[in-house]
Amino acid sequence: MVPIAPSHDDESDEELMRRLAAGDTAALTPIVQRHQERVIRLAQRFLGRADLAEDVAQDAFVKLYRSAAMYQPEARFTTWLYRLVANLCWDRRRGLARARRREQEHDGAATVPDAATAMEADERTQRVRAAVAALPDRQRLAVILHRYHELSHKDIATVTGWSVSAVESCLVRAYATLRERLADLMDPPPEPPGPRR
Amino acid sequence: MSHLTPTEVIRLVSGELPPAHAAALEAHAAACPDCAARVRAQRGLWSVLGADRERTPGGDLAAAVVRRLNERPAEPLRIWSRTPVRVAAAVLIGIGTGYGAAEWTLRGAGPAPAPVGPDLATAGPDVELLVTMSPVGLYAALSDLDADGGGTEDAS
Repeated sequence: MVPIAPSHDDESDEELMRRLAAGDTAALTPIVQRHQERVIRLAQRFLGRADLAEDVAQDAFVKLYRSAAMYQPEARFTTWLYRLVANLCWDRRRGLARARRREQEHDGAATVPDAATAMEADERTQRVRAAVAALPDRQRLAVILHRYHELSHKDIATVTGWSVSAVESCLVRAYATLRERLADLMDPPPEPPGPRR
Repeated sequence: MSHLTPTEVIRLVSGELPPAHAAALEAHAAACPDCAARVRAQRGLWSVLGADRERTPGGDLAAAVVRRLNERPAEPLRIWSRTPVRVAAAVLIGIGTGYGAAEWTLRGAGPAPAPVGPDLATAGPDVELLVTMSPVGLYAALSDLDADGGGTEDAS
């Protein structure tokens, strides 16, 4: 049985992972408590659904528990965790895409709402979420990790397994698209850029 | 100084650059309306995106994870479900290797099936076998060697 333990705020993530790898299951609860918010936020923004985000978060921590012995504290723990969550998000996204295709074939029309519509928010927030949700998958993941999780370009490359230049290219395109789509929300609205040299 | 690249604009606004580099870019932007407009636009977007702070569920995820682990100790099951496949694969490989070795022994002249091919340098060509298997190519080449006196054979 895996017991629920009190929090261990003074212990580092690496130390908790070492304990978990050594079979000390009480180390799981503080890790979950410490990181659940960032894991759920990433999954929620990427998948656009709070219900799926919590499922992914559970999967992530179950996977973390089962692969604790393989964890090498070379990269930062959060980077390793983000990578694990990002992979689960990709898997889930593929599953959703397959399900959507099947539904379209069956019903002859798209019936699954866009990612952002399932979240509660005011109109302005809805616009932002819809714009981010409409980005291609790779660009969306890059923007979420960069803007909402404050990862550097290099860390995003580590999490996703893409090159730094690929990450930068994703970000440049994604932000350009977002600036265009959300121009009216900016204060003051951006001036049209002059001719590029 | 040349204009800011799109990546520099992004990194400047997100605060990723070392202070000296950021100051140099800011100085350029202060004197360049084009770059200043691009930095302003990215700052505006950064702020709009940042205003969206998601509410995350406050439930006890740890309890749910612990419950799942206690409900499904999946590892032993997974090991057992893969084992028969691994055993079957090992048996098939073993049978295949054994069959191949036996076939080689029966067809070849010597009792030892070990080498991948006959050691031409020391044993000399098995002309009988080569005639049966391939009347051209290697046989033809070995015939020439034979005609020359067996190549390295005499050396031993």
